[in-house]
Amino acid sequence: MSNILRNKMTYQVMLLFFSVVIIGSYYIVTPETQAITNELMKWGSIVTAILGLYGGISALRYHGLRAFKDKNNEEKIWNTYAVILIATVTIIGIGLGRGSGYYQWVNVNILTTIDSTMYTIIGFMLVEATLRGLRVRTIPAAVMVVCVVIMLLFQTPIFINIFPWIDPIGQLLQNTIASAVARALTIGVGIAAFYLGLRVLAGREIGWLGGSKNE
Amino acid sequence: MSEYIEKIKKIDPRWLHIATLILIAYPLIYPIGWPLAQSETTLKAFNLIEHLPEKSTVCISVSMTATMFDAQGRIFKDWFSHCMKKNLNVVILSFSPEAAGWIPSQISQAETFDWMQGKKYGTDYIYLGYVVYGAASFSDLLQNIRKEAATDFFYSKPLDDWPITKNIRAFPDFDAWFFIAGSEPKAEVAYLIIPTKKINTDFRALMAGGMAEYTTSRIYYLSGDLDSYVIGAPDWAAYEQLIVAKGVSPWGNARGLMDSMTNFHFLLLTMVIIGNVSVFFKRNKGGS
Repeated sequence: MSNILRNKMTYQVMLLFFSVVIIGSYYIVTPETQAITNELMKWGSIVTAILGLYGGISALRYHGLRAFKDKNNEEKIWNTYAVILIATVTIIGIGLGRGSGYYQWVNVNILTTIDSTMYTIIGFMLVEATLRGLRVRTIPAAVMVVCVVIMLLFQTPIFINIFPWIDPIGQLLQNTIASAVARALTIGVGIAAFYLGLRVLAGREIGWLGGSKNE
Repeated sequence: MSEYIEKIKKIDPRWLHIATLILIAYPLIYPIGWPLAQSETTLKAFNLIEHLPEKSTVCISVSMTATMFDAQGRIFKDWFSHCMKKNLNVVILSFSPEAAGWIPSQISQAETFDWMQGKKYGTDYIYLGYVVYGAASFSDLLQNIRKEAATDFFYSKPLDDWPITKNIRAFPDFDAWFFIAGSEPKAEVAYLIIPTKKINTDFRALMAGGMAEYTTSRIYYLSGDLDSYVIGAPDWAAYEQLIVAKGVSPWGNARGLMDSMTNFHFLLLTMVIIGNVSVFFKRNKGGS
C-alpha cells in the first residue's frame, strides 16, 4: 500500500481521471455529470481548507521555533517571530467565536487600519518615483509619460471640465487600447494554461508532484 | 531656473511625503467639493436601482479584502443607503472572511441614519455572514441558498424564520445582485450571473470595484452579462452625488475620497512636470 502511495504514477493517474471527468462535464451536460462535478469541486474546496489549516500549523511551528530557539542567532530578529506568533495565536483565539465582538473590534480597528496603511504607503512612494523616474528620455518613455498624463487628467473630473478633449482620448485609451491589450494578455494566459495542462496530463510536467525525479 | 529645478529634484523625500499627507488628509477633514463627472455606466447603475419596484429583494455581496474597506467600502454604504431609501429588501452576503467581520460594524453604523428609520432586521434587511467564494459555493447558491447560508449571522435563526428570506430559495429568486468584487468578476459571471439570467430574465447584475477590474468588467458589460458597473473613485463619488441629490443622507463620503484623489493627481502631475523640465534643461546644457 505504501508503495502505491509513494508512487508518482498513482497521482498522475488520479489527476488524469479527475481532469477528464471535470472537463468532460462541460461537453456532456447531464444532471449526473453536473452532480459529479459539483461534488468534486466541493472536495476541492475541502482539500484547500485542510491545506490552509496545515499551512497555518506549519507557519506557527516555524515562527515558534525561530522565536524560542534562535534567540542567539546572528539575525537578531527572534522578537519579530515572537510578535508574529503572538498576533497569530491571538487572532485565531478570538476569531473562534462566530460574530465575536472582540474579533470584530480587532478586525475594524487593527486589521483594517493596518491593511489600509500598508496600501496607502504606495501613494507616498509613487510621488517620489514620479519625480525621479517618470522622465522622457526615449521615444517609448515619451509614449508612456503621455499616456500616464492623459489617464491622470481623464481620471480627474475637473480636468475633463477644463479640457473636454481629454474625455474621448481617455475613453479611447481605456476602452479600446487597454481592453485590446488585456484581451491579448488573457488569450495568451489561456493558451499557456492549455499548453501547461496538456503537458501535466501527458505526464511531461511533474514538478507539481514535488521531490526528485526518481522518488 | 535650472538650478531651482535641480534643487527641487534633489529634495528630501520626507518633504514630499508631508506634502502628500497634507494634500490627501485635508479634504477628508474639510471637503473641497471638486467637480465630479457622471459616466454613462454610473447613471445606468443609479437608474437601475431607482426603477426597481418597491420591496424588490436584492442581494448585496462583498468580496473585498481589508485593504479596500476604506475605499471600496464607500460604495457598499452608498448602495445600501440607496436601497434602504428606495424601500428595497436587502440581503447582505460576504464572500470574504475579512469583510464578514467588517459588515456587522457597518450595519450598526447604518442604523443611526434617517433612511433606516422604521426598517426592521429580518424584514427589510438581513445579513447572512460569510459564504466561501468560488465555483462550488456559487453552484450551491444557484440551486439552494440554504446549502451555503442556512441561518442569518446575528441570531443564527433559520432563513425560513425571517420574512425577508422566507421566499428566497435560490439565487434566481433575487431581483438583482449588486456585488463588490475583490478581483476580476470571472467566477461571478460564469457561475452565477449567466445561469441566473437564464432562469430569471428580469434579473439585473451591478458590479463595483477598483480600476484593476475595469477592463474585464467592461467586456462583460458590453456582452450584456453585467447590466452596469461603478468602478473607481470617480464613479463612486458620482454615484454618491446622484443619491444625495435624491435626498439620501450621505454615509459613504465617496466625494471626500474623490477630493483627496484629485489633489493627489494634481501632485503627481506637478511631479511629472518638474521631473521632465529638469531633463529638458539638462539636455539644453548638453547633459545626457
